Amino acid sequence: MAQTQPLLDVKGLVKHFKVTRRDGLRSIRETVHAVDGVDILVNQGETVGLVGESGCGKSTAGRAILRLLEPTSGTIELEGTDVMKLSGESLRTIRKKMTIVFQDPFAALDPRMMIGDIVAEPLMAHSICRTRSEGIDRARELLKIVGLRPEFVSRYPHEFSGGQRQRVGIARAIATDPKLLILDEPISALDISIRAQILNLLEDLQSSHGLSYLFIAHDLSVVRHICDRVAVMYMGVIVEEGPSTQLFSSPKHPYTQALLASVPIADPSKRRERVPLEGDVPSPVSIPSGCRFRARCPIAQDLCAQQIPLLRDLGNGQFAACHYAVSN
Amino acid sequence: MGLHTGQLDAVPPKFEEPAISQPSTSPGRDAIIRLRKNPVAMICLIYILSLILIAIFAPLLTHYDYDYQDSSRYASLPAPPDHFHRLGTDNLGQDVLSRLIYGARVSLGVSVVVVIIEVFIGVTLGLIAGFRSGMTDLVLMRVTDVMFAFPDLLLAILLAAVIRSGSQALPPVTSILTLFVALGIVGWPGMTRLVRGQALALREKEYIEAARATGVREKNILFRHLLPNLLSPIIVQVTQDLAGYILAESTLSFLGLGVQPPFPSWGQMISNALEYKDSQPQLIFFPSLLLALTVMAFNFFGDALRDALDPRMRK
Repeated sequence: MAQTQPLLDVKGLVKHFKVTRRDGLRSIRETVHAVDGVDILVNQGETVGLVGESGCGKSTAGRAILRLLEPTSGTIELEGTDVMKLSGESLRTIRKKMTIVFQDPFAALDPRMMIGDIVAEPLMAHSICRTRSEGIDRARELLKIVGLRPEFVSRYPHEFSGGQRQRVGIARAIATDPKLLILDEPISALDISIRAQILNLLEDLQSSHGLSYLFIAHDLSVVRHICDRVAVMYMGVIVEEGPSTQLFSSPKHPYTQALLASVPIADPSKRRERVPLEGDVPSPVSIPSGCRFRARCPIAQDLCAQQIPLLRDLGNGQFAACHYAVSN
Repeated sequence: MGLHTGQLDAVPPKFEEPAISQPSTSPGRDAIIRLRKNPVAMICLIYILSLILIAIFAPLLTHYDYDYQDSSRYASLPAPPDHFHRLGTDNLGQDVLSRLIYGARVSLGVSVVVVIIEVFIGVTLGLIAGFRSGMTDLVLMRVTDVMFAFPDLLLAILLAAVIRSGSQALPPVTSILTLFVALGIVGWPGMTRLVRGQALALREKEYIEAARATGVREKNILFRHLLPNLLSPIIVQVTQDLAGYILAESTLSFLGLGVQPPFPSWGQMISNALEYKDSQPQLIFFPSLLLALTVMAFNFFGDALRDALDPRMRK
């Protein structure tokens, strides 16, 4: 990969939540390790997938990068700007360059605002448009870009279907002409029939607007379709990372293998070898020693309980955090 | 593999058709449309609006001033209705109809002012507590809890009694100010709790997060997202609190702690009429009826508003 300056460079991102649990009269303070040291690199024009089961911390990571949630530690650089050092007005202005599309299009639009005002809001916030009518005019153009009718500006969110609302959410996200979009499961709340349309729209926008995506998903088949590189997350850490084709053709980490095996194939005559995944994800409050995956891992050995596996270069740009991962 | 995008690509709809093709309506307009279909709500609304008009135009609608004592009549015993006084006179020879109409002014005026005080304090503190959270929230809410723990009316009675406990009698106008203060102090904790709770819930909504994520200023999030979405619970609460304050004002006046003569008040009229309940029962009947109807109208209208504004009612 031709390395110039990466668009987004996240190093050692940590987000812990302090929670208080009640046990009878005693209250016990605990720490939830939602994100526990994650490195993410997104180059210009690239789509990076961040996948994992629900609760693995992928959405938290996305929000922490935008500083919608305050990261516990780590560095976030967007085009060389240290996002962690920003505050107040400068943090607000960086959000012109990176923004987010949410999973649930029904919750992400203010029910009391007209579509035009929703789309124009970021434009007004960053003084790109000075007056409301200027903002609405621009909103019309944006709606056209995402495949909606311009006259929808004067309608309200409750009049639209999920797919249409998600288009509105995308129009709002691209309004300020950002460099990076964090897509937080943008299609998983939509009907299957709508998903492909939204994915195609995202791909079109990427080429026409020079966007880069951090695509958060739990559905591997979607990620494979759209992503250049993929990072697999498990319990707050990245266990495997690599170019999309590479990762899907020869997954190295047993967790990735299990995830891939669980993707249904739309052909009943084909059978895939199943790697059984037993048990549940351990509590993110009490992180197991050594490898976080070992309790569910089919190939776990004694070493896995003692030593934390780090991401190892396995060649061809593929990295995996497993003691027993085989190099390419 | 999992997604058959190819097939769907083959028929790409240029535009997705809108779900409904009727003219667009805002959530507020929807609520008004629903409200207009509710006959009880409309009857209550008509009653409330006429009461407000009567209160405003009281001098045009009455033949006598509220403090005019008809000296042609025997002025120490109430008289039944006759040609001059449609609802009779009270023990001071004052026209009951006029005093009822002016009493509407007092009842509505006091409750509206108190509600304004309540909204002003309650919404401000509630928003601060809900939006800031942390220490500010904790302190504000504990103070609110303490205020909330007092029985409303008892506290209002206590406050009214304390304020007027000087050695000299207060001028009658001051008695109304006393009511504002006493009821205002009692009223705000409920509103503060409501606003704070709603603000806490709204703060977690994705559209608030979305606004923040696109760089909208906190001030604008507060005024453009939070407040408009808070409006319907506040309106419902205000409507029902109006009924509560009308009742509270009447109660205080009934106990002699509210509006002082010569100003009329329904509660005070009921109180005065008690003495003549056997000979002239209409003296109790009319102010009581008016009071009951008014409180009921506000309560029913509040209920109807709540139903109309509830998004779950939306088809």
